[in-house]
Amino acid sequence: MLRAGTKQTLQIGDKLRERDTLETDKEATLGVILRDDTVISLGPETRISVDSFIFDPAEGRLGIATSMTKGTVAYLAGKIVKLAPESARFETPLATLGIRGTRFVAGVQD
Amino acid sequence: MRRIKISAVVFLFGILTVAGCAPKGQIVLLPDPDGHVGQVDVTSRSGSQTLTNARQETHLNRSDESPSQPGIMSEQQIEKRFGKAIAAQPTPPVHFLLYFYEDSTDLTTASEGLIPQVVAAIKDRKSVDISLVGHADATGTKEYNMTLSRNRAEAVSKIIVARGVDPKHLFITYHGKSDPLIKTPDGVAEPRNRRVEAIVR
Repeated sequence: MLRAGTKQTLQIGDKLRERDTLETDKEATLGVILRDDTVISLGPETRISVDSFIFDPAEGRLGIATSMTKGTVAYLAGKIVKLAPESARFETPLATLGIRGTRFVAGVQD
Repeated sequence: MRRIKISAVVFLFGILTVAGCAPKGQIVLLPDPDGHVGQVDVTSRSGSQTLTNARQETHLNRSDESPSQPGIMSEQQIEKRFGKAIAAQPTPPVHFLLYFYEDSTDLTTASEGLIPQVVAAIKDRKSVDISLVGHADATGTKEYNMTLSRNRAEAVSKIIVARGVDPKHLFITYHGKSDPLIKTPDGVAEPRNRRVEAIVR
């Protein structure tokens, strides 16, 4: 994980923050659950960032933006997509995805 | 002579397909765990495509090209390219609603019966992030209900900690009467609003 310019190795149970970048090596995979029930998993040699995440349904403040730059990702949308699909974004180098209540996989070749 | 030429072309095409392997960008829509199929819009600088069917895919190789006409990807192809990412997907979170008797931090008998399932869900997932969100119905003052909803969440916390759940994995929040499941006028008693939502991730 890259947080504020510093690389660290993740252990199971570690907490993520906005703007963290996650990267797996050749042998690794990784699963992440966000507070709104979004479930994201990374295949080997994958890089993804959680650019912004706001989940405050009581105040109506919702937003999720993730971007992947290489590898393979499986994405299962959570509450933010259910409550406000227009506030969910998934970026890849060549295309932007709009998500409506769903599950998908995305691949980006270097 | 002609036949040889054709087979040479077919052979060459075969190599290109194998060596050409994955496109630079590819997106495949999958069914949700409950079987429902949603929708993904894929937009590049020069066009967009919408995926609406299970295993429908679109791809592109440059940002100045449009995403390809959607096609269906076989389960084997999906497994080959995305199998490891899919296998790494954690079990999705589960939500429980636990109800309380009026003006009380005692769980209803039915909800008490759910506690073993909550604890099992935590253990099955090896969960390290469990939210307990307390609520109250609309009888009484705002302040009173804030305290009541907090006490309810703490009551659930005590019960599951006694069953072996690590308290450092529990996150308690509470909303008093401000976030009812069933909307009622102020002052109305509503059993379904006297609750703690437990979210096991």
